[in-house]
Amino acid sequence: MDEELLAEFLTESNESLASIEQQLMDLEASPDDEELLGSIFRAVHTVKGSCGFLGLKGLEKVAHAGENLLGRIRALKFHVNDEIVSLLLECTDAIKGYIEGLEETGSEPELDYADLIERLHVAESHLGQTDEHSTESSADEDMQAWASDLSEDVLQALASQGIKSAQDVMNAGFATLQAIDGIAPADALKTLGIAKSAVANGEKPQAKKAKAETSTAKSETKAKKEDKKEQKEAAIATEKAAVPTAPAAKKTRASKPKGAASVRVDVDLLDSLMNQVGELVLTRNRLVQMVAASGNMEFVRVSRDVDQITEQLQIKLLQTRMQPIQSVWSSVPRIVRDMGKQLDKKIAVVMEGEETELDRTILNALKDPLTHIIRNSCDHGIEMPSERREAGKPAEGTLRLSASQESGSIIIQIEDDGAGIDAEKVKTKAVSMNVLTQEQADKISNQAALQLIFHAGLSTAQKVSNLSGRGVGMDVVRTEIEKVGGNVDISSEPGKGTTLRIRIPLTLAIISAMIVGCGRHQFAIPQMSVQELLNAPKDSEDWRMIGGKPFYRLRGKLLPIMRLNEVLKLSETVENQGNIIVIDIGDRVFGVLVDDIYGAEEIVVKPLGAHFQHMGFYGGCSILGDGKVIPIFDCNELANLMQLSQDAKLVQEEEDEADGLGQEMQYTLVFEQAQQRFAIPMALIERLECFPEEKIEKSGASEVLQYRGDVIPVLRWGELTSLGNQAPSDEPVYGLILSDSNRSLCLQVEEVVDILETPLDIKMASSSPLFLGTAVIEDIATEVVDVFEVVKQIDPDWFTRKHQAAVSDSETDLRPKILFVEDAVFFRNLVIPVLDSLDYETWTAVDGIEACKILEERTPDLILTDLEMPNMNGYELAEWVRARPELDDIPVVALTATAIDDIAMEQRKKFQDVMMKLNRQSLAEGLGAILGKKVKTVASEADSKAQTLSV
Amino acid sequence: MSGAQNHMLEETEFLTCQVGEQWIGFQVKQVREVVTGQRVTEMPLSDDMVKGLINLRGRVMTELDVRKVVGLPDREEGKSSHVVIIETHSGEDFGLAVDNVGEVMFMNANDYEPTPSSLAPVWREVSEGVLKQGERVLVLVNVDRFIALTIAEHETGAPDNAVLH
Repeated sequence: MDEELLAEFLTESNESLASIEQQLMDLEASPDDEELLGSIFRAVHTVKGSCGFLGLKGLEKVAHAGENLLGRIRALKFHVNDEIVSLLLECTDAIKGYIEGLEETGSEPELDYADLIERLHVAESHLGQTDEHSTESSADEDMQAWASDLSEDVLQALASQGIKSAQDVMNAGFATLQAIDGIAPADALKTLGIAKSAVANGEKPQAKKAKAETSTAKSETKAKKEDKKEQKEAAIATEKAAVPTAPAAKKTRASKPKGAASVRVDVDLLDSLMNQVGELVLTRNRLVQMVAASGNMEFVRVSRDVDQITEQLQIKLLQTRMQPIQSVWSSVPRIVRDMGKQLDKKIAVVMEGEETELDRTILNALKDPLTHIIRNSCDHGIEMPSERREAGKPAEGTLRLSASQESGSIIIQIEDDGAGIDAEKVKTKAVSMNVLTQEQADKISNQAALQLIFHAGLSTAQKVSNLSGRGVGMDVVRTEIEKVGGNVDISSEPGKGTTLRIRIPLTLAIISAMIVGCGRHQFAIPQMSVQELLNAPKDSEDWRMIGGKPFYRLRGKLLPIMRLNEVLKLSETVENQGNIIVIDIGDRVFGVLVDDIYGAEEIVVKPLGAHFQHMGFYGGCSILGDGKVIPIFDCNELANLMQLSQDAKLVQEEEDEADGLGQEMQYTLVFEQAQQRFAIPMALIERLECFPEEKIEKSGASEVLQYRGDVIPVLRWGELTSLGNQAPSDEPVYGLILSDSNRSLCLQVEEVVDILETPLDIKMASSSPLFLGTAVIEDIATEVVDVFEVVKQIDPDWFTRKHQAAVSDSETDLRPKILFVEDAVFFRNLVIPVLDSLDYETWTAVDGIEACKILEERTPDLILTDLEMPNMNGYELAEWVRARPELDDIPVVALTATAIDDIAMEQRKKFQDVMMKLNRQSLAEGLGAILGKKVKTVASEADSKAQTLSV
Repeated sequence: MSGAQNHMLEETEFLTCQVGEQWIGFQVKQVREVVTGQRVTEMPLSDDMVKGLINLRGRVMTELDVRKVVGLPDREEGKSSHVVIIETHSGEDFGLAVDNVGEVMFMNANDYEPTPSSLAPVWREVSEGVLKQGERVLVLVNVDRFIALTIAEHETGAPDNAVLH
């Protein structure tokens, strides 16, 4: 077989077949579109025609059967139904099967489509029976195949005599033909000639063959060219004649007119070029470094040119590898259609961003996972039409695919408006599969539970139907996507639908990576996974140790931290500079603690050798500008390395959950006085000092301490509580420096036990006003000190005096009034002083009901409310307020202990703003901004000082 | 040993190298070059015998320490190694760090002996036979088997050197 010809055939066939599925489906929708039908017919005809040429017997049979059916449909102007379309789709599948085989092996694959061909024949004849003109039309059909060069008149004349095939013409002979009405002797001769050659060529009934009587490839090509020219004319003619015309034997084929001039390039060649450019980029990097070091301006200029040219070359070459995602998505409507037919569901497909381009390697890798996801959506996501109607949704489900570019990566979303996934069911399943313990399942959030769908243990053993969501093989989907450096996560709302979000890099060959250092080692972390860089000094109060594992508190969430030197067992101990790379791999976010961050660099990904194949966390390696080899991390695998799977995640969940319940995990200082334990939240302590007893000086009746150039009052805890001091007097004493609004005091305590991270869950109210209540800390009953009461002991006017000073120039009643609604005593006591210090008049209510009562009597300038409260919660209160026109211009601000992000956007909208309870700085600023009042920075200063506290 | 094989071996050129006290020979047609002083990027958590990655004019390859593969102690401090770049049939090239590189020599069929059982097990594993040259016994190393040895080990999870001694 002529390889070049075959290659050309394959390309052409692929081109014409690419659109055929869509066209068939379009035809199903509008069966009277003759132009469309004609186009489909031509595509199949082209394939069939070329087969004879190339001796592809199997393919020819299938294509011929399809062509005949199509021809018949066209001739009869038969309105296709879904059955016929299904059959024709099957036929195009068969053709594609052959073509794929040919592409792979270069020879026609052995495929058996006898059954399909039979069904195509049956369908064809069935159509014939329904129409009286069938014979004639069929003649048309049979004829047009071989005699496409003959004029329509001649063909009709021949058909009237029952002459259909080339063999018929041969049998009839010149005399008979000539005698037929409407056929001139010249026509008869021509007809005979064409028929003869057709028969001679083994009845390969096609125009090309008929024309190309010589057997050399060259002349055949020439014939083909002529043929093409003709097609173009035909195509133009068809376009011009917008009126649907009867099937004409003339119209053989018309491939789409080509766009700009293009050359087909072997993909291997492109790949090798890509490698070369990769090397060039590396060499360039080295050159630029060397030149910069040389300081020679002439060199610098030249190297800058080289630099730019290389970059352009790289960009251009990357472009050649890019293909629109359309090339993968084009099969989607077909899959959805077939699934819909099978399942008796109605599903529409909407695609957005089809033109988004991706590296072809990645596209190929995405094909299977995408298909899988789409099948799942159709099968388990979208409900039966009746169910949908009952749920008040349109009977037709919608599957929405969208693709968009987002800084170096592509986001693909597959969204259905189906039943969604019940996270509870996933949890139950996970527990029954031993993926989670019941305890874990109770703690895990719904969002995290949904991600379990990608869990191998869960999904493979999972019978799809058991779960109202997806099941089988989602772990494979995830693996496939991760293989090309991407990640996937899922979100779902029961009753509303499910969305899968895939994030993948634009290209694999050259990536942007963050270069980090750990000891004397350097590593590259693909930028795609890098969410942000953090600086977390060792003494930052946001560090937590949970279960012996480090976490860092970031915007109210606990970020599990991987200490790179530990995980990689690097021997060097380098002082911890607190550089954290926050890595987001879709369903998981974690931080990697490194020594240095050198910055981002474009690097060429090179594969690693056999010795590293079992070390998945090395995704490859690259060469830096100085020639040094650097390993690249695979962030998904890296996460596994730190065993940041369910365990760490659960801890994280637990923590978040705790926040949600108002059980803020916080650093708490625990001290002892006469063997009794007391606790003070660290947030209220500016500094912990240890100094000799002599430093406490007498000042009249009270004691003072010289502290940072200031003289501050000293309170002795032993005296306040009448417990006395049991510590020997010659030892240094502990002083807790409490600070607020530029004023400090020192609370001297006997013994500091520890600073612990614990939820301050106050169990019992205390009889003494000095305490907020009793909490159990480390299994020991501990009195939680009410710092503000303590402060009042020494200075009852601590708060009031200040605002008196502030408002001395103005009327007191001009102070902004804040209605503060909070059920928890602890938080009330924490927030009220802040409000006081900001010089607001504060009215308090313990729940929404009480707040409403107050609001009916008085109108504040702002309502500050907790969210979760008994009787009437914050959301309900906000709604209540909003329903009252007289309170319309009163801002309602929510106060939360959880991360603000955890509150649904819709819920957030009910409030003017949402603020964090424990962040006095932002609370003060936020309220200030709303009330148009300049915020005092005193509180913030104390806050920032508290952060640098060390023991 | 058949005459044909001897004949084949006779036309074979070997590069001799020293690892510890042992002299070994690599077939020259599998040796790309010998380099020294290459910067090695260590790969944390990789096998002890993997020295790391080296950049040979833009090609990244894995460098293996032959001493470690055969279970010898670390090279003396400050003693530099020579890296023999070899090609394997898998298509991947490796750098093999040896203590010394000797000369390129033609095989003398008369010196050839099949692998003696007295040879250390690790060398027996990769030996194609030995050349006896006076006092010196030169082990003819099958490079592919040698590499396979280093890879197979972590796959089976066998403890270090269990196979080697």
